[in-house]
Amino acid sequence: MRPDERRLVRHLAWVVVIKLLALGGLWWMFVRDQHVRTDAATAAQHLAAPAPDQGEPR
Amino acid sequence: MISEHVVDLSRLQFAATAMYHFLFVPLTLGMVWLLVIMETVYVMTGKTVWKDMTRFWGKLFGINFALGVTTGITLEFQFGTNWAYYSHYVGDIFGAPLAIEGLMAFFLESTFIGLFFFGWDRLSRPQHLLVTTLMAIGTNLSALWILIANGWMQNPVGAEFSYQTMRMEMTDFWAVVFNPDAQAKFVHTVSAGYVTGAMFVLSISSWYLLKGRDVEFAKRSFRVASAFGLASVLSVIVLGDESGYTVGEAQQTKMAAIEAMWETEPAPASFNMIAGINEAEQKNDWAVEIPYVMGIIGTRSLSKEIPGIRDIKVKNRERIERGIQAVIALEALRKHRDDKVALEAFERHKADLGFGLLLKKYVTDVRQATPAIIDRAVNDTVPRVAPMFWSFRLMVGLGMLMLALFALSFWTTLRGACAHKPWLLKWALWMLPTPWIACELGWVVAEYGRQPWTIYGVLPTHLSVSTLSVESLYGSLAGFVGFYTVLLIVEVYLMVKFARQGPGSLGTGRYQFEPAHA
Repeated sequence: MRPDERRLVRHLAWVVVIKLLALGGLWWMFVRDQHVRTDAATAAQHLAAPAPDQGEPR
Repeated sequence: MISEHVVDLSRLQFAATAMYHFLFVPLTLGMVWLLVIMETVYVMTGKTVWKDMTRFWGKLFGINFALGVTTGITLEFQFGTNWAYYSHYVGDIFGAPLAIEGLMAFFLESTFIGLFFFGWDRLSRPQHLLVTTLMAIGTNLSALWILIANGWMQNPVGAEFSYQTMRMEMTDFWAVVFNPDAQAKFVHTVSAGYVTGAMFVLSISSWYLLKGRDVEFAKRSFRVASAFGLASVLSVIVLGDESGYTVGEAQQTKMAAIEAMWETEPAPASFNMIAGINEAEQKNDWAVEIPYVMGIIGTRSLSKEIPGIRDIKVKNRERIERGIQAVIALEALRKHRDDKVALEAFERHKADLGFGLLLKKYVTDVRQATPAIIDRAVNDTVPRVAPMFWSFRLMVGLGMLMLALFALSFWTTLRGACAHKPWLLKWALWMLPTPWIACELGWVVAEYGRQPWTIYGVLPTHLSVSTLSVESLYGSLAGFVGFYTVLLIVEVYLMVKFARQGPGSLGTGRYQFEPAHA
């Protein structure tokens, strides 16, 4: 591999590393704490919250 | 109920990141096959110029790959953060193809891309060609799994809803894999990628020819690109027609919106080439029609009707009314799992559960849905017609323009006259952005046209999003857009830099503008 090709590969490798660091940073800032836990119960609450029984006070 | 602002921001964020991601993807999909063709000729003929072509265009391919790789990861972040209920509801099906794609991308695509760049001096010619071919197959297989996942969102086959787990569960893996919608989408999308790769090589080669530099190298590149581009653009058109047919089968609403077909026409329906769309009054003020064409595209027959938007809405109203019964039965089952009456009602109406859930945008308890609320939900079942109609026509128009360019380029190069047609070379140069624009418009038609659903007919978009704060959505949207914009600027800078250097950047001593140290 010629010297300028090696330089390009090195630059591209840096691009990928910087990109992964940037993605890590974005994850750290915006994703890490956004835990939206879903299970059957929460999904049921979200999609089909049971309506109160008839006659039951609302 | 989730705020509409949160829904809109989540959609905007996903659309922005997906559209940025798809600036990189089609070039990778297309360029890789051009490399296979060039290297095959090199292995067969032993002519060094073909090796130089593979290495030079491979360098530009490598820049695109290095900048594009991982840009899809943010989409997967968002499935977890912004679309948590979607992920819960369909993760059992949607997760499988995504996981397979991840494995393919890492183990096939990335491995062979590494071997492609570092293996020139270590592998024999046939071995290196095998690596390039496997790289191409790996890249395309990655696309296949993504499009299987996406195809399932358009046409959810091989799965059914479980009220116990509150999620869709896979019943037939092979039905998901061989979903006609996914298969039609795959071939149409990868062909569009091939056109993008071909246009990229054709445009840059045209620029070299216009400048009169590295003429033999540029003429060969031009010839390969025009032949591959012509075959690919014909495939896009034929397979796009097939994709249109599967859309007609699975998503009549999308088809009707694309065609601004407000009323059901007697078979065979005509095709509205252009029209003055009046959404408020649900009609076209004027239209230029081509008889029979829509009937043939949409039904493959001259005797079948294509339903218009008004009739689709009537059917959707009935489905919403049945869906209300499904939601009520589901709520009862969640309270008392052994409620046999509720179970029987649920089984009877569960095919329309998604339509009942559309009402949850307006009322928490679907029993309280008034006729006016049902009207609003019915209107929601059809996406806005004008963006669909014009996006589709612009995409097709650009496709036809590319067909004309590739056909003329191919004809000219066969006659050995491409270097002497400056008007054609200038046209090819200016056409460079068109495949990207057409690809993005294609995604707008496919995804905007799926609204109001994330999973067509099953899960409404407004119930798929997570309950995030508006502030965090603005923050992450700005972060993602900033990140992608920087990547795009670096991509364009490097592409322009190395394209300007031309094959001289290989330092072989055979081309113009060799680096000083070569």
